[in-house]
Amino acid sequence: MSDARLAESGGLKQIGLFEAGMLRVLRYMLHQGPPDRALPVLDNRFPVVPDRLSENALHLLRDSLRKGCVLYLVRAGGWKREKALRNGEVVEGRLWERSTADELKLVFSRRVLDLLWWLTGFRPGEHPNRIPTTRDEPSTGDELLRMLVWEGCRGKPELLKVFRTQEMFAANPLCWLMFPEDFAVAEGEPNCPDFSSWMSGPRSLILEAMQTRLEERWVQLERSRGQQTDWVQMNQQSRAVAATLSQFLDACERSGRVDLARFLLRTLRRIFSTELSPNFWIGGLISTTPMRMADRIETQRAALCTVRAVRRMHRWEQTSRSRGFYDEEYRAAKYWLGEWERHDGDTTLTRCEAVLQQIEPFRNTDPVV
Amino acid sequence: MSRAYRIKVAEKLSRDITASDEICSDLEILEILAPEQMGELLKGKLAERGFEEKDGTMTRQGNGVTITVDPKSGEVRVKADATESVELKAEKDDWGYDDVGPSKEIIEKRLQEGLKKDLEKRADAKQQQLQQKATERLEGEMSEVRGELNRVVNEITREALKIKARSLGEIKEMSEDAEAGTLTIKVEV
Repeated sequence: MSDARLAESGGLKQIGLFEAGMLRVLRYMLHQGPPDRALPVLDNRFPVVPDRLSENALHLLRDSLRKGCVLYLVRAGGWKREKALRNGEVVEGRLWERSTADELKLVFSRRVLDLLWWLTGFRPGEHPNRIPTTRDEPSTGDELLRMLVWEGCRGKPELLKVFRTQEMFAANPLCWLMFPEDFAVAEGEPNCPDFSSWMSGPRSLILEAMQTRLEERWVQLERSRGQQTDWVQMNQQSRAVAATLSQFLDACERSGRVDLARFLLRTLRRIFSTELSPNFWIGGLISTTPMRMADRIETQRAALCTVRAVRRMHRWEQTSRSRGFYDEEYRAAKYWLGEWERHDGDTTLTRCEAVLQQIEPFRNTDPVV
Repeated sequence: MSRAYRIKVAEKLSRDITASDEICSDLEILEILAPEQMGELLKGKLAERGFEEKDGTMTRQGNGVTITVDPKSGEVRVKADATESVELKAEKDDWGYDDVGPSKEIIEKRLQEGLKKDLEKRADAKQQQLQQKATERLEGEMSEVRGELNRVVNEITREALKIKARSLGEIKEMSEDAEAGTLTIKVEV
């Protein structure tokens, strides 16, 4: 709807053209608006960028954030009746049934508006090239929205290039967990942030709510690996995925929040619904093959890093079996054993191990005698 | 009237180039006995096949390939090395004039720089060739090494099963079926 028509319609609030652009961008990022109305805003520059926003625009932006983020989390999996671990106890129900309203509160800072203002008003390479930011600790809502902005801009490599240099994205664990392959680096080790702060409080509730969305995303990620044709890119992406998994699973293990990793168990269960060969991951590698065998094997092993994560989850299962009724972790152990059985962990483990063995140069297929 | 003269420059590059390729993996050793006992069995079998003990690992060299096995962890490294001394020579010439254009020193310097770049490129190409040679050597040896190490693993598995059976009781009967690939041990406990 144009500005004029907005103004004409009696009950609607009047906002400027730039502000309407910001609103379109925000609603698109929150999965509330169509991309064909928001993406042109990201591509075309506004002739005038206002210094401040009108009260009407602020009201609408706040309203969209408030409702949009909640709706996103509900749709991402918060609506499902699930079990979660809280302080070693199992709680069950939909996200809002297993948490109080106070726990579910999402807080946004004005940095969110700065980000939207920059996205709407400036293009990469223009001044200011950097998104305005502060050294303040980001709020939970800020981090969720930044992940959604990252997701919305994935089709725009020039924007992602700028984002990668910004701490608000590069140090955002949720961005890494959702899109680990986007953080591939050409040299050195990927610098994946620590997930400890996501294991309790409102951030852990976001992870609880997003289990279904995370599962979908990781299934998509693993399925897309077989289409990667470039050895170098495969290696770089796999190292980023492996670093994310390592940091995330370490944090889950340390904090006793293994329930937050159940999306991974479900992902592997779905992928290994039948027996697979390593070609599912590395079958697309056709570009210039690395000369050294060492490099080839390293890339192949790295490509199977998600499959290898089953070993960690199996170890949790083994530890859980050894817990007795009087142990402090008894309920958490029972919970993980239940999840392992529900998702047929043993079959998944056998199939994962078979695939991992197939790429090993010294696999023994000869009979013992 | 200007006089033309020909400037000829020769350059030489001597270099020792090295290349290597390596495979690192683990042997599939079943935990039939304690890890130390399995390690000892592996060590013994490898020694029979010409491996020598060195810093706690068993090593054998041959055909430019070094195989190192850690009997404790079952880790295997197969490494192919190749070294070569290369001596590359190149010559280039150009024309200069005594009254116009760049001086003799400038032309010589330019030719030398060009030659050095050419020689570096040729040395890099030699390095690539040597790398390919090392990798081909490793690939060539791999199937034999794999087969040999798998046989060793199977031998120690059989040996370990027999030791285990003896520890359980008196062995009454033992038969090996090569066709079915089975080993049957009957033990009286």
